[in-house]
Amino acid sequence: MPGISRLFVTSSLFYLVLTLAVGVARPFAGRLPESFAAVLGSFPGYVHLWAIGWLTQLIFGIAYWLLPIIDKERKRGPAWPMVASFVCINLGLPVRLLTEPFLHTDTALVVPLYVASAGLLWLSGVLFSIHAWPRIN
Amino acid sequence: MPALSIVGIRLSLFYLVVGTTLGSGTMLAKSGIGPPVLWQALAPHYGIMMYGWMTQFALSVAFWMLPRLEGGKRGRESLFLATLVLLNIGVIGLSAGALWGQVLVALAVGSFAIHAWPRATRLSPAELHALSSTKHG
Repeated sequence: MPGISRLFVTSSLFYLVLTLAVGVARPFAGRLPESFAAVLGSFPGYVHLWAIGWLTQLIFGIAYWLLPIIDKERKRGPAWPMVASFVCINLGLPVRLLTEPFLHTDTALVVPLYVASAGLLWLSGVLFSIHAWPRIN
Repeated sequence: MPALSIVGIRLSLFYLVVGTTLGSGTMLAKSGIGPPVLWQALAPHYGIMMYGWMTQFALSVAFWMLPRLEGGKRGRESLFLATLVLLNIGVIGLSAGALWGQVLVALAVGSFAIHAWPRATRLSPAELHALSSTKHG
């Protein structure tokens, strides 16, 4: 398995464990300090922890490994879109999870970070598509 | 890769880009930077990401990679063609908030299950031989 796939799959497994742990902790969020409770109690955050952190990263990692090569010379094509996609997800997702519950409390710092996370997550999907498109043959 | 998988995976990549764009739009609306009308992208974002991207990608890869039947055939390919047609019309319906969209997606998955069942359950001659030698050995 190529190194990039290992990165994606390892990260996806980390997020799977994190999603399960958050799922167990969510009913007890009310007993925690307010900031922790806000992050743990965020349903959109919980859903995206699972959908992007676990499932999307698993798909990206396995797809990089298993999709057909472009040709014998170019093999899997340039790796930079996949590396950049990995960085975008693993920066964008935590920033989103940590800023979303505080959008209406501390807008001066939180809103720009939240908008940046939206851009990073969008870019991660576009970069994967750019990489994968020529390999679908 | 078979032609139907190429079509399905390319459609799923298209939906990935459209779905992440809509998701980022809802995040902009939530942050207060984007116009509130972008909130209406939430339901299409959900349907497109769950079914247009993830489900369609997974089913198209499965059509390509599941074990083939006797003679190297993939079985009733028309069922997978029906899956793609129903799924893509269904995703459009889901994006419009229509119940028939959900029904078509369910029919698409059912059609795929009927297609894939013999490929997933039928043992190859080599597997049958290995099984019988385990039983008698």
